[in-house]
Amino acid sequence: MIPAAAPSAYTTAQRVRIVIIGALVPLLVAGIGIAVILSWSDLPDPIAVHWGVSNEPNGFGSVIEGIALVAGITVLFALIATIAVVPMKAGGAPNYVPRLLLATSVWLSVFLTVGIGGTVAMQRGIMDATAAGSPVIPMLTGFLVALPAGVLAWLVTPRPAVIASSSNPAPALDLGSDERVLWTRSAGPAPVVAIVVLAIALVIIAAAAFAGLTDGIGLIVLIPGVIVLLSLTSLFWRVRVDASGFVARSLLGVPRFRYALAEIAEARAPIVVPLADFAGWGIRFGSGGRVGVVLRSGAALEIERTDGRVFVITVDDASTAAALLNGLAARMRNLSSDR
Amino acid sequence: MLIRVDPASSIPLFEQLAAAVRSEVLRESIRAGERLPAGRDLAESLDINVHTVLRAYQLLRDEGLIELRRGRGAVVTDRARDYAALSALLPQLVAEAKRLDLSPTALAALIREAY
Repeated sequence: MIPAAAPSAYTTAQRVRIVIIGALVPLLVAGIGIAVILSWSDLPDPIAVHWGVSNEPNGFGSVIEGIALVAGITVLFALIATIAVVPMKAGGAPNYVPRLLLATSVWLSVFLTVGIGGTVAMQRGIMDATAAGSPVIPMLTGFLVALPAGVLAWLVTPRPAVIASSSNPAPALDLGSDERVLWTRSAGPAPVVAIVVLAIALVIIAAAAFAGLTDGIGLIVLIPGVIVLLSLTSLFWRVRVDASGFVARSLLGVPRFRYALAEIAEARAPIVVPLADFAGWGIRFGSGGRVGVVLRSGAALEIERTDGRVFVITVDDASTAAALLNGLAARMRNLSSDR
Repeated sequence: MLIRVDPASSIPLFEQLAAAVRSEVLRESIRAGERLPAGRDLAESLDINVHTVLRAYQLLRDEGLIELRRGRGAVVTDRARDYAALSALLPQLVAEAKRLDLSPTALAALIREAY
């Protein structure tokens, strides 16, 4: 896999700051919280870890369980935030994506540490955990204390660099004045990915159907599952370039992206790295009105329109498609200037 | 796959179209099991008669390169894999012909005589 030609969104110093905000600070917060909890020797055993709707304790466990929850979620989000943000490429994602990821990581660590730590703290000195009070106040305190921490993380997250375009235009294919051309290709994720995603969706739907039937809620719980299944059809696309221009159609025909030849200023064939360039997969909205259908990493067709907006779709043999689009556009301009 | 046909050429359109599909199979831009565009769509994109497209598809079916099934359209057969060896020979053949300043027509004539 060749890395994207686009420059990195961050300097080395900024990347260090991202790791500090997204990973070190959350891990430090959780670590201090866990150390404080472990230092308490006057806790009941087991402690209350779950409360019912009327704020009565109804689940009990060891202190270690609560600590594992705080540590596990904090580590997971610290990893997600840094792995997604550090390798980002210039122009890859709007400013809010790294901010949201880092702010969430910091907010979660403070919320969990203060919230869960608080519910443990209020059980100090009692002999039997069934006497534990309501968890609402500690959890609410955690939520509120975490907010300014998250906002601060949002504000100090470095701004990613922005560039106008990610690669050079593809050379134009030389076309005869009366030559008829068509380029078409199917686009989708790697077959393994498609199978795994489909399997997960089906398991979720089956579980929802089972829960709906046994709980007597009815099959209305299937609605989210059906929506998931329908949205999966936007994983598979048919892309076409001909004298009328460009069209990318998903399996059901909707969504669809269609640009007339006269609208197309320039086509390129960059290499797309989904997390770095678009902060994820699917139909993505990047900075500067850049819309992407990001199904896998690798070759992509990038179309800049005359109004400056950019559309990207990951598709095999994209360099041929880009050259053909540029050739068709050049031929159309020549024909109209000859008249 | 990339299809280019030129109505100004002396070669009939359906033969150009069949040759274009064949070379895309050689280029592995269409693989075994993949479906070709529906005849009507292809005709519309290329602005040619739908019967021309169907005639090209019938030619390719007679070669065994595609299967035509009602409702499924034109599907590339496993035979596409057998073209790999031939596809590997072509660049060598063309390079040698270019070295000798032979035109594509002259090379084609040589191949025809060797049959």
